[in-house]
Amino acid sequence: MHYVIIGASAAGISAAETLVRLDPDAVITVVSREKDIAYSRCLVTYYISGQISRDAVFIRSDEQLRASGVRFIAGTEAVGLDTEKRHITLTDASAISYDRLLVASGASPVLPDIKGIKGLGVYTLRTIADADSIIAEMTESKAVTILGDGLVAVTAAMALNKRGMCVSLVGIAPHILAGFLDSRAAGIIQNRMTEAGIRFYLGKSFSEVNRDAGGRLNSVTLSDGTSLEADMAVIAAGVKPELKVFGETAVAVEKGLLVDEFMETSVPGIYAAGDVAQAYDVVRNAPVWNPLWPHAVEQGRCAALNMAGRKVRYSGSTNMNSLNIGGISLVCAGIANSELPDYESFYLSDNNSTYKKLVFRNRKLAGFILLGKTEKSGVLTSLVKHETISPTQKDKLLGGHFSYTALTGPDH
Amino acid sequence: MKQVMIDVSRCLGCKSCELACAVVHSESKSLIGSVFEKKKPKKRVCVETGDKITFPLQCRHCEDARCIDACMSGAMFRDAETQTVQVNPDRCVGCWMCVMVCPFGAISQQREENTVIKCDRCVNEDVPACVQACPTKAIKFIEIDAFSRDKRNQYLINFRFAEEGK
Repeated sequence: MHYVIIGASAAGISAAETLVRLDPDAVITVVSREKDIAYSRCLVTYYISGQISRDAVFIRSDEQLRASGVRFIAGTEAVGLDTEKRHITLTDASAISYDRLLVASGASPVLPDIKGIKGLGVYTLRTIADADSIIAEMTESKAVTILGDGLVAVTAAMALNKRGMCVSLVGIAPHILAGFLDSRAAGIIQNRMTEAGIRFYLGKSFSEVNRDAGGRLNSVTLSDGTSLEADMAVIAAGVKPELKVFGETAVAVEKGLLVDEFMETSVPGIYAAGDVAQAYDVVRNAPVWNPLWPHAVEQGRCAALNMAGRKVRYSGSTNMNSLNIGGISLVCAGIANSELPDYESFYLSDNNSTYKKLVFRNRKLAGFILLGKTEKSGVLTSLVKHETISPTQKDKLLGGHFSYTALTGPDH
Repeated sequence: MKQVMIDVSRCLGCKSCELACAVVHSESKSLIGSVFEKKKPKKRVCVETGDKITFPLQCRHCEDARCIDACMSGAMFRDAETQTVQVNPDRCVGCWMCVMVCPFGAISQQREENTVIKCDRCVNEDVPACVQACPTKAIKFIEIDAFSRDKRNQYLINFRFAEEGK
């Protein structure tokens, strides 16, 4: 049996390690377009900030990878697929045949169509190579403008601020992290970031990136006409699933590559996991694209189990995020940022250091935001994934009792 | 493999386990000594209060550990020898992803160090400190093979109906 995996990040590594365990005699090949493999994408902003070394970004050592017996092909991208002949083609035109294929190709940054965006001084931030380029170019007290209001933009802003750069953050949404936070929680974090020296330009975008005669970046013009001096620009305006390998091959795609409960795509024998995949979401009860590290690891393992012939259903994902920004910790899960008609929001605490919001829908905990104090938040995340909660549990939650014992003991 | 099991009907909520846990994780490993240590030792077990019960809760060292899946820095890992879930503080960056997913709420944040701590099941001791310290034998360290399904269920039933005395 020859298993081929495209991608060597969270999902790809998790799948490869699972296959090694389940099927020690199988041949496993992992193809990665990146030269550096088995590192944590989530750590690249920690690397930029100087909190950790470049070596610490890697989650497996070369020795561990060698000892696994898996064949890794790094620095070569899978760009073609022949489902009849069951092989993929790589950038160097070589072909690799497979019995079962896992597409864990992740996602790629979106580069919006903005005049002057391509060229010197403008960076995306996804890979360790991106981080290397930014680190090589960053200079204390120089100006950096970040386009984006999501997690990458926010953590990059804090990292470059820590390195002494003058950071401006430009985002289209009215507040940061609007994908999962409400304006109140986002406001508390924005205040902390403002205190650190970061300037916000929200509800705006870039309209033009301006360069001098030598092509060197010197400023960006915003959609409202504001001009910001910039020595560097970081584009963190979202990512899209990396589907290059499919080329002309017909495959079901919505926001991500659609998979069934066994992580198989609409093409039999081809599985998908991680940021490329759109799998079942337990809160929304539908396939939802939730490109998050924990889901990638779990999906990679689940896909591998099914590729090896075990019928294992994916337990489902949910949107969830954990932040530790400027000493403020925040955990949220499920749906907690919208005021929809049949959702009931309760605010257990709301001051400048703690914010606790619980959102219920029918007999379920639909979501929550805990800011400041985030202990035992996992108990709530686990409840969000549950089918229903009892009236007793709801009372306990509203009383601020989040412990496992309080919520699952007698009478529940 | 031995596991820590809780007979909730026996727990009085005396917190001897918490004290013993902190002491065994101190420099001096003695109660008196640890009081004078510069860095106060921290407990990894927490006696939680429910309606009419108390429950000494610590990491369950899950077989499908969500904290390991969620750990994006490679700090949380399964120890090959003991099969327990352990955290390497040198790799922990304080992202609190494990805290976000632990269904038992058994992982504690250390704000100053920016790392997490949790029960290490006293892998260097013959018997975990909490088990040794429990005066009512509510915390037991039991060989899992000898621990039948029936017994497991009895522990769960005790947990659910402790206050009714069923």
